[in-house]
Amino acid sequence: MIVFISILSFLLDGILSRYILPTTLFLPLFTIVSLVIIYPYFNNNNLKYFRYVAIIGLLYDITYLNTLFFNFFIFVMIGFIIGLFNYLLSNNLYTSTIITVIAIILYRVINYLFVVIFKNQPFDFMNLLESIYSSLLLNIIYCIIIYITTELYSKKHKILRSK
Amino acid sequence: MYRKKQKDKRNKIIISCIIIFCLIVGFIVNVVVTDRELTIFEKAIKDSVLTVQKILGYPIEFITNKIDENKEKDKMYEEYQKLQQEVVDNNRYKIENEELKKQLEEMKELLNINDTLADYTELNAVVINRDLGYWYDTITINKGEHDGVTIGMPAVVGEGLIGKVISTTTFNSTIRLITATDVVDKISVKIQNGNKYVYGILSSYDSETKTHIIEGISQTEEIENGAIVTTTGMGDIFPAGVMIGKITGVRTDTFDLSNVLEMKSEVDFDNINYVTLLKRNL
Repeated sequence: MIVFISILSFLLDGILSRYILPTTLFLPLFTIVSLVIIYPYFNNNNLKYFRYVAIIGLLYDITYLNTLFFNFFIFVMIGFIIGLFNYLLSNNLYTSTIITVIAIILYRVINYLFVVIFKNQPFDFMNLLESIYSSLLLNIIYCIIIYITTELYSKKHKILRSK
Repeated sequence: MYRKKQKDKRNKIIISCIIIFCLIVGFIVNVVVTDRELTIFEKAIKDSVLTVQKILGYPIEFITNKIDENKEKDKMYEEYQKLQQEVVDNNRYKIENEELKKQLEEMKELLNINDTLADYTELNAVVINRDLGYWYDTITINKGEHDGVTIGMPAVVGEGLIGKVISTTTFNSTIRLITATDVVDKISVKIQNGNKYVYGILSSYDSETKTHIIEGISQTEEIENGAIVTTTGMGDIFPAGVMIGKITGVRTDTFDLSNVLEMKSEVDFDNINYVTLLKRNL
C-alpha cells in the first residue's frame, strides 16, 4: 500500500501540473502529502522510512526539477519533522492534516530561501505567502481523502500501523 | 592527556562534518544553478516516469478535451462567421507572403547567400508538465533528442517567444521560460521605432511588475509605448524576427546614462499547452 500511495501521489503531481494553472489556489504537492500518510505504515522503523523518503526525493529531483540531491535533502528533512510530530502526537486525521500543512509550509519556505539566496531573486514575503496558501487547499483535501481511504483499507485487510 | 586527545578527536569530527556539509551544499547549489546536461541514468529515469505519467494522463486529457469541446460548441457559430472574414484576409496575406518569399529567394540567389538570420525549421510539441517547484519557471514537453531537439533551441507560441530548451532526454525536453528571474542568457532585441529599428539587450525579468527589462538604449531615441520588440538573430540561439512583446514604459538607468525599456510579453505564461521549437538553419 505504501508503494501504491507514493506512486499515485507522485504521478498525480505531474499530471495535474498540466491542468492546474499556477495562478489558482489548487497547486498540487501530493508527494509531500503522501510522506505524511505513509509514515504510520513503517511502524516506527524510522531508518527504513528515511531511506524510502530519500529515494522519492531523488526521483522527484530527476523527474520534475532536473536537479540532484536538492529535494532529496528537503524530503529527508520533512520526513524527520513528520517523524518528530508523529512521536509527539497520536496519529489521527486531525494531526495528519496539521502535519501536512506544516510539511507544505516547510517545503515552500526552504525552496524559496534557496531560490532567493542562490538564484538572485529578490525576497518578496507576499510571493512566499502566496505560494504557501495556494498549495494548502487542494493538498488538505487530498490528505483527508487518502487518509480515510487508507484507514478503511488497512482496517479491512488488518494492516498494522503505528498510532 | 586523555581529555586533550578526546577534545582533538571531537574537533576533527566537527571540522570534517562542516567540510562534508559545505561540499554537499556546494554540489547542490552547482547542480541547481547551472544548466548541466543530464546523465544517461537520469535521462532513463525521467523518460520512464514521464512515459507512465503520459499513459495515466490520457483519461484526464480525454475528459478535459471533451469538456473544452462542449464549451466551445456554444460559441461555434459566432467564431465561424469571424473566421470566414479572416479567411478572406488570410488569402490576401498568403499571396503577398508567397510573392515576398519568391523575391527573397531570388535575391539570395543573386547575392549567393544560403541562409539568413531569420531562417529556421519548426518542431511542434505538447506541454506535459509545468514547474512543480513554483519558482523555477520551467515546462516539460513531449519531444526530445529522438525528434531532433537540442539544448538551446528557442521555444515560441503564437503570441511570441517563451524561452529555450535547457535539458533534453530521449523523448522529453525541459524549457526554461523567459520569465525566470535567473536567466543567464541575454537576448539581442530590436524595437520597431517608426521606420527604423533600435537595438538593445533583453536582460532580466521583473516579477513584481511582470515586465522584461531592455537595456542599452541611447537616451536620444524616443520610443513610444506599444512599439514591437523582436529578436535580432545575432548570437547563436534565437533566429531573427521572433516576436517577444511590446514596450510598456521608458525610464533612465541608475546612472542616468542610457534608457531602460519595460516590455510586456503577450504570452500567457501560466497557460501554455503547445509550443513550437525553432531550429536555426545557420
